[in-house]
Amino acid sequence: MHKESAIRTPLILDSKTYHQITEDVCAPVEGKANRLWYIAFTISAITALWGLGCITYTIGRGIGVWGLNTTVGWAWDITNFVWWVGIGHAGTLISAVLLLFRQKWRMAINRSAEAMTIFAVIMAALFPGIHMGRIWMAYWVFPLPNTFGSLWVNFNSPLLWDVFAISTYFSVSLVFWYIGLIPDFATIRDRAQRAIPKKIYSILAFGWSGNAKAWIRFEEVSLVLAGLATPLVFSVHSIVSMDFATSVIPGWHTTIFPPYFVAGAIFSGFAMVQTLLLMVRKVVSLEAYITPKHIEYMNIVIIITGSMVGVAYLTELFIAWYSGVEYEQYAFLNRATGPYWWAYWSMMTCNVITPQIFWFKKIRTSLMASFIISIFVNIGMWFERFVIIVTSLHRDFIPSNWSMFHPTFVDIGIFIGTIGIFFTLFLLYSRTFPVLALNELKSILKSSGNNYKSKQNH
Amino acid sequence: MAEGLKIYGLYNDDDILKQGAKTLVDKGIKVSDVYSPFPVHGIENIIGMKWTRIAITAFMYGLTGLALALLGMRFFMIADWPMNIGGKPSFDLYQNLPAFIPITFEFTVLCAAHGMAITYFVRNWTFPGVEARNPHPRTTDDHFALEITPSENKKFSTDEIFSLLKDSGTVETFEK
Amino acid sequence: MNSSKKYWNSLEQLNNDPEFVKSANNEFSEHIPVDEFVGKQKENGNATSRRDFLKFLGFSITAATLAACEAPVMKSIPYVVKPEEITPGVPNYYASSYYDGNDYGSILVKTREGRPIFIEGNKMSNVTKGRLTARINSSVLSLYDSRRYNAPKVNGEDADWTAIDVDVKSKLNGIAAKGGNVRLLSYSINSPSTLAAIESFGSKFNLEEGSTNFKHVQYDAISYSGMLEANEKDFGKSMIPDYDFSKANVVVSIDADFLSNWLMSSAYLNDYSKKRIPNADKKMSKHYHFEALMSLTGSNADVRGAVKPSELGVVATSLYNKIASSLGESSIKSGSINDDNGVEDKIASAAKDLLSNKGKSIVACGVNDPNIQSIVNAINNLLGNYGNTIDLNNPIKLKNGRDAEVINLISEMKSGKIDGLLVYGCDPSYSLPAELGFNEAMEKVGLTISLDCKPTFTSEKCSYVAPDNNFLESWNDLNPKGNYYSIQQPTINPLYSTRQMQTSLLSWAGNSNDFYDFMRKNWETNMLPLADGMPFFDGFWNQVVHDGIFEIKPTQPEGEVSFTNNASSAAQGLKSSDSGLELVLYASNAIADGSNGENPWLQELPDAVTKVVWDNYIAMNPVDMGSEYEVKTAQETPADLAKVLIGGLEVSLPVVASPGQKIGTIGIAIGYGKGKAGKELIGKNVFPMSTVNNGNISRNLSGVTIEKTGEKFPIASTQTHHTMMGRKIVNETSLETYKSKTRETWNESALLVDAFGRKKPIEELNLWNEHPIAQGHRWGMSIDLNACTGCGACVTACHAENNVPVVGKDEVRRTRTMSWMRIDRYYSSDADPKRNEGKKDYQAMENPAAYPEVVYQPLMCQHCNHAPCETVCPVAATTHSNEGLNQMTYNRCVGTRYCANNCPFKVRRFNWFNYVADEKFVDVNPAQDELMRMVLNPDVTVRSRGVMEKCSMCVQRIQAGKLEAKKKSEPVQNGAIKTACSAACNDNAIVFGDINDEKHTIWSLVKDERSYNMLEEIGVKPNIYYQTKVRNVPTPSYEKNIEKPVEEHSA
Repeated sequence: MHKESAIRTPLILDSKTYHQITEDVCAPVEGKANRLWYIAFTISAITALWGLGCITYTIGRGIGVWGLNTTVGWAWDITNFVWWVGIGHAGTLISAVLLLFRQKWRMAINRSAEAMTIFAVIMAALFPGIHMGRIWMAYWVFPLPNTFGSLWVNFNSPLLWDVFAISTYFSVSLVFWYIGLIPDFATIRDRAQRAIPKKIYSILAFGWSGNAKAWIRFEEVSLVLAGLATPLVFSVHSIVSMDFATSVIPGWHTTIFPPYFVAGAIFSGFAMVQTLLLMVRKVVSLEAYITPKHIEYMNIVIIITGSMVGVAYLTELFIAWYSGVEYEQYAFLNRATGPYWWAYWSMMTCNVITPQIFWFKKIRTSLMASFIISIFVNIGMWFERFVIIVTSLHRDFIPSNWSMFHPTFVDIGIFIGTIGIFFTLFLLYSRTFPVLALNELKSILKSSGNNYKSKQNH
Repeated sequence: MAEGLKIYGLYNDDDILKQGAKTLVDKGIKVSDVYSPFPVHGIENIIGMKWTRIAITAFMYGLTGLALALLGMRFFMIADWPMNIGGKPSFDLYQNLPAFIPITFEFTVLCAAHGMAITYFVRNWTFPGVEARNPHPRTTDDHFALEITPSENKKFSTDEIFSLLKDSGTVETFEK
Repeated sequence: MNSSKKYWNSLEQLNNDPEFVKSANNEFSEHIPVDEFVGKQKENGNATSRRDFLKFLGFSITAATLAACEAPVMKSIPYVVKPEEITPGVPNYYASSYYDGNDYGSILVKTREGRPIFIEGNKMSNVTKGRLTARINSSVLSLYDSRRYNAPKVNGEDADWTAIDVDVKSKLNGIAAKGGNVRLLSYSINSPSTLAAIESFGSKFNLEEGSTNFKHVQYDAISYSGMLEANEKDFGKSMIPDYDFSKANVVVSIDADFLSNWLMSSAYLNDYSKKRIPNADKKMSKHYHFEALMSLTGSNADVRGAVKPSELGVVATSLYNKIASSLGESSIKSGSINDDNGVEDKIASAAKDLLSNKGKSIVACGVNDPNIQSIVNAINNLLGNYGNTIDLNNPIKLKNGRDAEVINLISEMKSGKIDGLLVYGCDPSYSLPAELGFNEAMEKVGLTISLDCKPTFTSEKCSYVAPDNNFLESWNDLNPKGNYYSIQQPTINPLYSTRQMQTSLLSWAGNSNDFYDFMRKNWETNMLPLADGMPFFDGFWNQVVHDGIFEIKPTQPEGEVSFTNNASSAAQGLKSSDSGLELVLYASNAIADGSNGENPWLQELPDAVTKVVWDNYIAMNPVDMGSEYEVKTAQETPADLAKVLIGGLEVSLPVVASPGQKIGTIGIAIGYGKGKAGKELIGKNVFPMSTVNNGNISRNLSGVTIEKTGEKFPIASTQTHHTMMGRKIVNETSLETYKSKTRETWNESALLVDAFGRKKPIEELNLWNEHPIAQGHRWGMSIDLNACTGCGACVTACHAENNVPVVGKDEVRRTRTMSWMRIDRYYSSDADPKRNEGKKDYQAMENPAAYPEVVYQPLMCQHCNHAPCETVCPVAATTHSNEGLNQMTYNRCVGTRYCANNCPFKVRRFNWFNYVADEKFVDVNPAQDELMRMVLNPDVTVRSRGVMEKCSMCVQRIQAGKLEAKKKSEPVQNGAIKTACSAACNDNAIVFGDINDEKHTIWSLVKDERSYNMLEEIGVKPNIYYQTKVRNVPTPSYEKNIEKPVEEHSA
């Protein structure tokens, strides 16, 4: 079996046995929640309800209750959409790409990361829905046979590509995630004492028995799904970026967008994973499994992607100048110096400057610093999308159209609301699902577990 | 002793399990299956189990998706009702292809992934409500069960099998 | 047969046995267990038991569920007897005329199933030649105004006509008996028959010849009495001559806003625009304009001088002197101008151009001051314009009001001499200067009768209201000028219990017959003789009513007109200019004198220059505003309120930037504070601030003080950015450059570099095989930026034709105006790279110059052949028709707004709310009003909430036109199809047609060297072409020695 050098810092601290791992992971599911959890849950539930209220109001009265106008047809709605999709990238990336690269440290975090992906993508998918003038006609974006016979959707439209990309990404991630969950549900099932939980978990476990052939298939399927999900991760945000890249609007019409968006997505995704895990390991006390090493690894990914994004920003500016196109040049000058300069510069500081201090190992390994910076990055990435969408639209080709965007309470309410819904879901998940991939952890216990490593040492 | 029952040996470590399995197989016992809380690498060779071909199905599903997407879009945009959309060509698939690539890719992945997942569930016969078949609850926690079907090992008596199992480092043996 | 035969049901019945009689009474022979079913209602009274409740509940739920399965059905009643002239779905057109005391137009009224829904110009008329103003084509909406009087009123109470007639008659007879005085105060009336009716009414009081017991006093809110007075002095006749701009090569206007509010602007718009288009040998008219504010006309001038209102006289005198001196005439007293924009030189060059175009020029003056008018008359006389460009023989009869008469009337009223006052078509207590005290005077009058069709400040004070019909419900004849007559015919039955003012007068005069007969008689006796080759009246009458006009070629003047030059005496009479802040109460191009102030279309029509809607405001030059007032007013930057004080009156209004207006001068629009949006008055009334200046009402005031109140006021403007940022949006050049340089110099076509480094014009570069656009129809438009004056008639026409919702101030403030077409207005900026040695200081480029040049650009969907909006729609709701139209399929749209974002022109409009139902628009959107809804065009969908909409190039009109052509089995003729905008513009600036058909005007226009596409370089290939704006000025210094050779490119 796979051996690992003793110098590598262990990924599972303390001296754990298979049973202890089971115990630790099942604890939050079987035990009572601590006060911290209840406080967090109440707050997120309330904000979630507020958000749902705003959404209902929008659907009832019309998009006019938002701050949009003739010139700026998209603002917070699509900003939030892209932001959430971006966040939804880390999970699958961690579990798919890192699986392909045989990165064992992923195993502690991939379950939660993927859960986050699922919830984030749900939040993202919400916005293209409610931003429609006639949401009750939303199903028209699918090529459904209808009474008019030859009335089909427009396959030239990047927005339609989005529909396919997002739905594929969501469903595949979901399947990938659930297949991984089944054996762990089985564990909980077999441990469950009370009848009802046993029943529920045995349904969730799909009658998993863990026989050798099943495990073989399990590993094969995980591998192939990982192989499929990896290009998917890159394609989804590339396609989202095409919403802008294929348009004519200066500041949108940019070939650099696909790679730039993907980098940004991974960047923001890891930041959000960071934020969540740093909370989760406290809330459901899994310090032994989500170690400073994990945090450090993710911080490294954040520096790299952050720098890539930074390079992209600079490239954009250079190309705008180099193109010699009046509109292009003005668009980017306007971003930095126009009425929305504050958005541009908060994007720059949060995304390009702050992550750079991760070059210092001290900061990279400090949990508090990581947490703060991860928050910064989340904010910065939201502003990136806002800058791209609003500051490009509000002053485009014809000066007589130039205008400003001012959000209403509904815009804000819906955004805050989605964060609330997201955390509500995530907190529920952390109490009912095995937040770590039991079976995978057990399989690396011997290679990367602390006690086994120490055995090897003497 | 009752007919149709199977004999199980319970181990508490994957390495011991593999050792045990090897000794048993060397002695000529046919091990019909192993139940473990996580994939025990290498066990399939020891007990002579064939590797799955499920990956191949994924490829086929993928091809199906690819074909469906291209044919579908050709039908919708070119054959059934061609329109002048932004002056873009709607004359034949080739000219319009660039616009179709993203969806073709997504649909290919969609079919491959879901097709394979469904096959996976069917072959494992894992569905909501299906009864679990693992002999002992702890095989999903930290124990490993080795399954021997007497009918497959006519030349050994049940007692012999039991004794052999005990020697192979089991913590417990039982028939079920 | 025997009717007494009787049949029996049974023997029991035959011999009436009691058993049968009993059973015969109850319908069913067996007992039916109703009570058992609904639980013994009788026993426990009305109280329903729980079980019944459940039964009912069950039933009602089922019923409700079933009912929910059906969409609500709106039933419409078909004709019982179909009127023969009406074919459902086919419009009828009726020739008629519009005149409200301010605008005149000979019109065609489009009716659908008996409802007037659209007004366009009557091309047969030689007066307006088919041209209209925005105010006229919006007037169709005023017909359905539910705020009109719907019945006669006595002291504010509804009454019926017989009652009011008896009452009024007796009162009038009383006055007549005691020889009391009765006055009719009305706007200028030129209708022969109406005047006859008034006379016959007057004869009731003026028993013997020359008695003045009855007088008809005419009064114009926008007064021309200074001009009338001057002309009386100079020509011996109180009249206004006819100005023919189609003959004028040089136009010098001294504060005469003739494109929006001066005399017969509907006619001048047409003639002026035609002269602005450079002809075959590249000649066009030259327009000098001297004014204080930035008016619509001034903004169109080639050369514009900004002078203080008090110095307009000096402009006239110095212009006179310059001309006189070079003609060897004696000069007159003149003054000096405080000059910060080279006015002196401008006057000099104006004089030069005038002299070189003697007899082919016009000097017009809009100042209501007889002295200045006299000087201008003298100038025109020196130039020999009378008899050439200015016709004294066919005077304009739209403005007869002499302010002196009104002032005199008021003093009479004050002295209690007046026993009866009839008011018609004017609103003196709203529009007269406060200092005249009309309202107090009115209280002294015993009998006050209003004949207005809608409530006015005056009519509200009258004891009797005998409401007139709307003009679309009445018969009338008009005599706008000279021997040109036109007919006004009803196009719909009176919507309310109203009666024509003329009929009322006649009946009160004891003349029983209806005005229609009276009018016919009048025409039979007076007009028939004038018509040659028309022996029988009926034939003549039908012809006249059909054409809507009756015109007799200009005859010799009635009595020779001789000119006496009073210039020098007039010059003496001029007040010496005084320094200090001055105020001009101007008439805006949408609201004018406010008589249609309640019309939502006009309120939502942006002011031509400032683009502000739904408010009047203090217009101020940004230089004056400095840092004290908010210059860049927008959604979240409201305007500052300021208080203007003059002569004891004060008004506080928001301050809005208006570059180009004379520094040290502020302007406020009249006509506001009258129309209402719901309960709210729109803007504030500043008429009372006007003052009487040597016998004439003057709206140019001095000695004004203004102070900032510190409060903020949201102002709604459809355009918040005012400069072109050095982009080729409106392509502009000078006449000299246009003549002398190659096309590439002044109308550069965008060249892109192809894959092999070759420069190619955009149309040769294509990523993919083109859809065929060169065959069949390809509808397109050419918009001539030289001919476009920015008057806005096209905008209101579009609203009327396409059921465009009116969204009100707050939504406009949020940049959500729904107008399908708009007119962009750009100020020139000194920082423009072109004028600034190519330096690009974007911050500075955002600020207009203190005295900028102005360009207008009508903008609607460009119907791109490579439309970016179409590509991005996920549901293919917007696609390209094979006739070159960019189509919008409303009922397929899901409202992602992606198309709007990807539109480089941002001309797509999104239905943010359900405008026809949302409570926010109750007060503004006509479609929410029971009655106003009748104006909606049945050929055009009323868009639902959440869908995108935009200019369809009036596809409904295109289809109709194609069907017409098909019926005639001929190709669509040139000009056979007009979009609403091109019809309103009378093809002056906006020309619609088939680009693929060389018989169509547009075919050659598209190929004209002035034509260009907007944003050509991004390759969207629009079907709308613009014609380069050419300013009739010498090549400006910054354009000197630019010469671009025609690019050689290997195709």
